[in-house]
Parts: sequence; structure tokens; C-alpha cells
Amino acid sequence: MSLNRRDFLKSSAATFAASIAPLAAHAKASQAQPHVVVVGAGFGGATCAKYLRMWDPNIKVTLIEPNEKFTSCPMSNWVIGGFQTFDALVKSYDNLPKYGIKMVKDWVTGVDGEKRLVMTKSGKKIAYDRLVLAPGMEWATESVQGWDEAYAAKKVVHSFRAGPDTLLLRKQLEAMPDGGVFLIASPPPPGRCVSGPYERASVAAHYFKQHKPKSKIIMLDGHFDVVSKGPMFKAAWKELYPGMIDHRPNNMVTAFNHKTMVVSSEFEDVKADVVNIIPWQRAPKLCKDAGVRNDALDRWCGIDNITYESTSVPNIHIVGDPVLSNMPKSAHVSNNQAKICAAAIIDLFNGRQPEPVPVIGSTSYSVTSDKTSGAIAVVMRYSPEKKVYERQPTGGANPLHSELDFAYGQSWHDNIWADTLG
Amino acid sequence: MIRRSFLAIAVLAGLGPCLSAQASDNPRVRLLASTCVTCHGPGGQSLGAVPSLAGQEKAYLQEAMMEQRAGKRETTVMRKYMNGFTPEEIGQLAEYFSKLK
Repeated sequence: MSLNRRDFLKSSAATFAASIAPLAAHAKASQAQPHVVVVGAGFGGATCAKYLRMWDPNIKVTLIEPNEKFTSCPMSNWVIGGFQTFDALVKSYDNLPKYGIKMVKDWVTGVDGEKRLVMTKSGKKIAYDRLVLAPGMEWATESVQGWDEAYAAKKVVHSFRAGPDTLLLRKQLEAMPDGGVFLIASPPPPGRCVSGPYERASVAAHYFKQHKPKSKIIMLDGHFDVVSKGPMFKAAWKELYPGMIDHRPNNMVTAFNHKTMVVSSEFEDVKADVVNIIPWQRAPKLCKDAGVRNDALDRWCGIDNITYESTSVPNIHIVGDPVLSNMPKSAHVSNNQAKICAAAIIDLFNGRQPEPVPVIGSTSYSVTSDKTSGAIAVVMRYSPEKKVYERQPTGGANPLHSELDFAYGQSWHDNIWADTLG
Repeated sequence: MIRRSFLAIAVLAGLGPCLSAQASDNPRVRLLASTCVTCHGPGGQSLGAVPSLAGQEKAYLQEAMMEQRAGKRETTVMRKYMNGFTPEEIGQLAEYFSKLK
């Protein structure tokens, strides 16, 4: 029913669009039905594809994603803590085609920004009018000496991209003897989900408290403090897990010897039973090959803050983790950037000025046990004068965890999954 | 669905901001409102403990948001959110969500 109506309205919309052709003076003839290719169906890419179609059914959208299903990083710490199943993280892409999105299961191997072509592993060449890159991040494993050998030997996990690593870490914690040491190392900023490692320490402590109470958690933190939801985490740890979590700030990990299980930071060597090192991250190689990974350190992608178009290659937009900005690299931010990008692309195709003052919301909930959670919320508005997204007053973290925030957090997951995936 | 599709046409035609001051026809309001639904659910219909916004009375939504903004109403995160929006935008958002079913 709704599809029929949409199809009918689509043709009506096309008629309307044709009647206003003069307004879109510099829209090309080939853009009668412009084609947007979106790479990556995560919180950024899937949202962008969906909103492009919802807001302008005249646009043809192809979404390229190598995975059969979506696996959520948010909530994956619950699995590591033993109070959620892995299956709960896995979501179908089946609703996206209902919006008229063409899903292509493939891996993008290259982009030709001049010819506006996307090349895929299966040998396809897909032409685009505009391209949205939402490939998440890749690991800069060279930031930790010995990482590659240790990872191949399954002696270290990142568990910061939900998947097999999530379950492996859970199994390693289950196999760890009571009295063992679980080491979590987080990289210096910027990186994905700053609060994730603190939440992970919390869920591990929740598990240890019940099943192996003599165990310890050592956090070697590349940040100067518990930088996200700090007072909330510290109070929760003191209340629920006194003496169990040893947080060592300003302690960037540089090496891991998996044969001796010794982790080395700039300051000390620590022996552990289970090792979870989150390496540095950067925009994936695809972004570099496309010419959009363009900051001085060759890590992130510079964008126009209104359209999310690359500052170096026209017609390529970037959303989510790869973006060079002061915004958190989170599911919520990726979802919000994707909508701003979608709206801007629609405006550009229709010869209109995109919204000059976009607003980004960022909410995240971190569990501290299987019943409690703490929230942070920040609104960022783009300032055309200062050319930066500015944090608005009163934003920040709640000082204490609560059961209410746990309930809201659970609902946040359900709603962002539905908003992203349909 | 009807409303959304109609809206798409209105926006496509570039008529929204010109002909009508209605919040639901305004692409900027629609974009602002899209930041709300990340937590409050697609179309303002929540799947869980976070309250639904769709179809609530405009006056109720506006008053609630303004009170949250001023810190006069107990919230977990909404005060932090509402201070990121102007009173005019809050009025537009209230109208937008009041018109969703």
C-alpha cells in the first residue's frame, strides 16, 4: 500500500520537479534523476541513504556494504559483560530497500573522483553524481609494536568493531582465572567512542564481582583522565567495584609482547592475563586512495561543515568516524551528520543553498552494570563566523549513574537502530 | 506517510519556505527535528522508555521543552538538549511533532 502510494507520488514529484527546472539552473541534464552512491551501511551511511530517499524520492540511491547484516557497536559491551546476547546486536538490512535504496553487497576497492566512478571487488564500476563515504575507521596498528603478531595469535583484541572480536573477548574473560589481570588500553584522542573503554571496564568489573572477585582491571589510558563521563564513572566504580579498577591516565601503550603477555606503555610494563588494546585509528585506506584523507597527519578527512563535502575532491561527501572535526566519533553523531549531509545533497541537486547553521546532537549512554547507566548529551551548532561547530551551554554528562538512564539508554538503542535501518 | 510524501513534493517544488510558515513544511525545521528522532524514534514514535513526540499537543510540547530549557522540569538529558535550541526553534519543533501521527 505505502509502496504504491510512494511510487505514485514519486511520479507526481518528478512532474513537480520538472516544472521548477529553472530554479535548479546549474543542475545538469543527467541529474534529472541524480544518482548518489553511499559506501558503508553503518550509522552514518545507512541513515544518509534512507534520509536521501525519504526527503527526495527523485534521487536514485545505491548503498554498498560488504556485510550481510548490521552489527551494532553500541551495546556490544553488554555482550562482553555477559548480560546481552551477540544476536541482539545483529540487525537486518531488509527494511532499507523499502525506501527505494538499491543495496549492493560488495567491497569498494577504489574511487575515481575525476570520472566519478566507484570500483568494487567484484569488478563493478558504478557511476555517481555524488558519493557519500561512510566506511568507519581503520586501525593504525603500527601504533602498538607487536600488535599484528599478537592479533594473529588471538592474544590481543580490540573489540571496538562489533563482531568476532566481541565474542572472543567475552570468552577470554570467561577463561581467565580468579585473581587474574584484565588490561584495557585506550589510545590518545581523537578516536572512536571515547567512553567505550570506561564502559568496558565497568562491565568486566560487573562480571568479575559475581564470578571472580579477586581479579583486577588495569586501564592504561592515553587520555589525561577519565575524559568522558568522568565523575559518573568514578563514582560508580567506587560504589559498585571498590578497589577493582585501577585507572592509570596519561599512559599511552606503545608495545605488546604476546609471548610474555607484557604490555608496555611510555612509563611502565604491565603483565596481564587478558589484553584488550584499542589501537590508534584513522580514516580507512579507501579515503586516502580517493584523495580525501587530507589532514596534516594523514589520518582524517577535511570536510565543508555545511555539506560534508570533501575539502579536496568535489562531489565526494564524508560522514561519521573519518571526518576531521571536534565532534565526538559516535553512532549518534554519525547518524546526525548523515542527515545534514543528505539534506545538503538534496539542496545542491535542486540548486538551493544548504542549511547554513546545521545542528548536531550527541547523546550516549554508558552502562556501569546490568541495571545502571550514565548519560551524556551535547548539542553542537555550526558557527559560520568561527567556522566550527560550537558546544552549546549546559551540555555534558550526568554526574551519577541511575536505573532511569539505563532504561532510557536501552530505548536509545532501539530508536537509533530503527532510525538508521528503517 | 501521506504527510511525509506530500512534504517531499512541497520541498521538491521549493515551495515550503516561501508559501507557508508551517513548521512541517520548512526544510530547516524538518532537519532540526531529525536530530530529535535519533532518541525519540522514527517519526517521533519511540520504541521504549524515551517518550514519543508524535501527535502530542503543540502547547504541551512547547511548554515542556521551555521548562526543560530553564531547568524547571526534572530531566536526565533534555535540559542539555534544549539549551542548544532557540525558543523560536522549540516552537517550530513542537508544531512539527504535534502534526505527526
